[in-house]
Amino acid sequence: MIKVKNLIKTFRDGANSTTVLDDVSFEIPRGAWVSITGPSGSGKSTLLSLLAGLDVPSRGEIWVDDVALSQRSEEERSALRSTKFGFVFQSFRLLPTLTALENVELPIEIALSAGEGKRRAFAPGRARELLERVGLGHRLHHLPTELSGGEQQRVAIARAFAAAPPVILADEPTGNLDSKNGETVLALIRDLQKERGSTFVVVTHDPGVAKLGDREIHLRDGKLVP
Amino acid sequence: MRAALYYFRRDRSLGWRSLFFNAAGVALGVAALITLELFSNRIANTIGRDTKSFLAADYQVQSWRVFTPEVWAAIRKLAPEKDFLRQTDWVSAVQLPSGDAVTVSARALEGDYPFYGKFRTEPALAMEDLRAEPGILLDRSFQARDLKLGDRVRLGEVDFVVKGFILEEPQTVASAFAIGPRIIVHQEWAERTGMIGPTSRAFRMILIRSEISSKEFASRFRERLPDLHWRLITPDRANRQAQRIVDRVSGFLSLVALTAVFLGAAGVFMVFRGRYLLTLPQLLTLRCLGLRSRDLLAVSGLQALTLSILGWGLGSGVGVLLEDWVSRTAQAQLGVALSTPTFGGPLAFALFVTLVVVAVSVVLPLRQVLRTPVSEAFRDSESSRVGFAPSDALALGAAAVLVAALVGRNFALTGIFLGGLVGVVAVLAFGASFFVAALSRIRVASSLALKHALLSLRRQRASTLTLVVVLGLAGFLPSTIFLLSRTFQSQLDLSDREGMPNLFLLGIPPEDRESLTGFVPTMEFSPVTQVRLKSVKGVPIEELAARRALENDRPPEENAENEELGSLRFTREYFSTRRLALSAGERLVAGRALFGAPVEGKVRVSLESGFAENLEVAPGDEVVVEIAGVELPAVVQSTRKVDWYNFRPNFFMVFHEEDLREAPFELVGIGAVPPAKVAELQRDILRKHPTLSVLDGQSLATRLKSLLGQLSTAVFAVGSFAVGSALLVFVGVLLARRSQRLREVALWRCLGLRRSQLGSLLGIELSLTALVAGGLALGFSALMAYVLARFGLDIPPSASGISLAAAVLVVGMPVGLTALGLWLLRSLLNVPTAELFQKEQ
Repeated sequence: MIKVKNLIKTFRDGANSTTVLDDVSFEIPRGAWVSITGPSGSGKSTLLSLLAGLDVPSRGEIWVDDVALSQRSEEERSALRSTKFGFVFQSFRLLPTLTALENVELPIEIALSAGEGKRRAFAPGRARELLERVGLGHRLHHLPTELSGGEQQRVAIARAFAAAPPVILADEPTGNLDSKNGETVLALIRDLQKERGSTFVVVTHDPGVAKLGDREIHLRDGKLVP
Repeated sequence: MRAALYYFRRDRSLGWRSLFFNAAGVALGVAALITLELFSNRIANTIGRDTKSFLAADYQVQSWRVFTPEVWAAIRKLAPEKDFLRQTDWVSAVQLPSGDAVTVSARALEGDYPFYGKFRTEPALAMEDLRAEPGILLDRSFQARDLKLGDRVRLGEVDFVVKGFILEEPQTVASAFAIGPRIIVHQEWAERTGMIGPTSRAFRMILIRSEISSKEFASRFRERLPDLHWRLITPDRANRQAQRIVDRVSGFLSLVALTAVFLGAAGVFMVFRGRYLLTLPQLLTLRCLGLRSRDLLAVSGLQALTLSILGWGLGSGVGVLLEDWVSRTAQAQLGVALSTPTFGGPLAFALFVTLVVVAVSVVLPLRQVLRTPVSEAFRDSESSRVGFAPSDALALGAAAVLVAALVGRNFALTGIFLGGLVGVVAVLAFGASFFVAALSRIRVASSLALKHALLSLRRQRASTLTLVVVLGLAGFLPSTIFLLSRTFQSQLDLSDREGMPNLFLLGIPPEDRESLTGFVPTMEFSPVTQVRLKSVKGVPIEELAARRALENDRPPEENAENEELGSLRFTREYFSTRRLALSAGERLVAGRALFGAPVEGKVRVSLESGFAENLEVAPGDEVVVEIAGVELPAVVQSTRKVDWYNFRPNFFMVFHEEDLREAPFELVGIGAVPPAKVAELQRDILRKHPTLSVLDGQSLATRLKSLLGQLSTAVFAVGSFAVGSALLVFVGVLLARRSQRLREVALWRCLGLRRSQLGSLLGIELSLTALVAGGLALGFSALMAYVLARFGLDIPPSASGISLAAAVLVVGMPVGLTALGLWLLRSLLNVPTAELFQKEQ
């Protein structure tokens, strides 16, 4: 479960300060699909960064499965990310020097290197299986540059689910795709999320994507709009 | 053009740091080039200004023979008695009051020496001040041996009084390369030492003062003395010869400096290639908006111009300062006032070289961009690639040949250098490709950092190859020079080589043999007779020499001089011996034995193989030789390969023992004695046989080592610019790829990779690149040093120095470069994750 309480994030630039998130509180139950919506500059991406432990709030707290993120060091948050979160980005963000298979294997390797392998048995061939699941069994050894945008995003989805994280964070996952590919990608995410019982938090502008969720969190000027 | 200028002014994709490192990479090479060009220009100007001072006269007549009455008669017709004087140079040993003997470069002078140039002593003396009683002038280094005015030293059979110390002499520069410290005595006393008799190995000169023009003097001289053995040195000729040496040395060093420019250019190429990759979408968009190919080319041209001018400006500044320091140091060490160099030519030349090299490096990768269809702008730009086509390699090669030909100024030298460079680059590239291919076969399951470092090296193939080649080349150059100089030095290190001769006795009268055996029972003696060639296979030697001279590729106006040089090579006196068997260090190349059956009316001779090739003779051919004025027909019965570095008396011509029994001879002796006893024996032998030249082999070897050390230091110094350039290329490439790495690091960190893991990954990647470059450089430089020693210089290869080279190349270089790389990329490790994520966005 994710619990956010009285979250404030302020950025300082010399004497000026800007409050991007202002006293935001909410809870997301395990296995839910939550859409975060709002106009540009409303604080959506900042909220996603804070949820992922990439940044710490100026005030307030975020708990992920009862772990308070801001009380953890950066290295601890890194280790936490490798086991708790999967990511899907608008522009795919695959490592260009790795093949599709290697990109999907990467989170598993990072989780293993974080010692997670001792607690969680990763089935061999899991990455391959995931890629086959997203319809890319025939593209395993292709570099990202050799794949279309839709295919790259499908690799990114497989990567997000690879280490079986309880939470998937997505930032405009269909933003760079045409409608057909967008629908395919959303369907894949939906199916995988249901199958694995993951919590899915998606930042989106698209009302079509937003309405797919169990709940919508709408932000405006850094505040939660009821 | 307006659009190009607009885009050029507003394009900020090349950051100032990258621009600076690229310019600095090129600037180092330019600095080395300008330093060498200016210094050689300064030397050339000095030679041009001071030729007569170096000669100490208007003209010199030189010979290894005693000047005959005919020569003197001819000279007297060319100049009055007061306008010529004698100079004799020989290597000998002087006995000090302590009893020690020192190997010296002895010189005998007389009269109003010198006609030109400075001759300063302390106290101020003229040569005639050494005439009344046997006086000697010593090099200042003798003061360190506690010698002072009034002390007595012995040279041959004469006890000389120390009258002064030499501060400056016209040929100070030449003295710097002499075999021992200079001593000067008066010609009359020198003759009484018993050391410069007709059979002695002394170099004799007549210095002449004359107002007659060079051409006229040379013409009159040859008219009276047609035998080319009497060698006339005019200022023009001395100037040309010195210039040729300066050109050859500076040409070679400039080519080494050019390697630094090429390395800098490789860095520019890599950075611009990476930059075009990153900005390809922008460039395609611009082309979509109507910017023409020629506009983009113009933008690249302007960027190349900016980079060239920046690199050249930086390099020129450093080069001018450095040359000033070098020339001041040289002036202080050699005691010669050097002329001011001409700046315009070298600076313009360096600018031209920089422009060509940088323009090619900047524009070449753009050609690939221009080949990309504009329609790619509507597709995902990352699917496009800026590659390297074979035609690019051709263009690079052509530019390299053009520039190297201009810099080297000598086709043969440039050809060898470029061939070598291409070979080295090819081997390094092949080695690096092999390494990358091997990486793809390695499966690492245990270490995430190692696995992904290997993957990164493999996938970024072009970058890995370039870095390995650049770093490998920078390591290869100094390593080869180092290993080769250590091979030479180990060859000269007599103390480590049991049985190697270390005591040399020259000019031994046959009757002294028994007495000398008393000092060193194992001493080996060789009879030595002076021999001249008169004809080869029926062709008079002068005609053969003239023919060969004309076959040479020198300009026609130098042919006469060339003819003389060629002639001297054939007509000079050859110190030859007579014996029955091959000596140690010789092997038979042609012929069934050293000598065969006697031939009626002919003497039997064996020739050194290179000498025989030069004369185009083989066993069975006939030559005519002259010994003590007697002409003898001789038949060549064998040719021998001689190890010239074996520290034994070696000969071009060896005659059969029986055939030359009647010929006059003297002996040379060599002894292998315990190193600690050499000085004592030298002293004892000189006491009993003062006219002998008794030389300490170890001190000669030490002197040669020191000269060799100076030469390798010069090449090392220039080579270090290539190392500097490679370092800057390394830094430039790392910095240029930082933005790409930033995106990767952001993702890695986002996915949960810890900082320590990221550091390990980068460290492994950097150290493996440097290790492969260092390993290849070590292996190839060891091979090159072996090949050059074995086949080029004909000396036994040695493994001396290999452990130090290995320590530097495969330990020091990887450790140093990894530390430098991690330091340069430390911001990637230290930037907070959220900030990385923001930048990544």
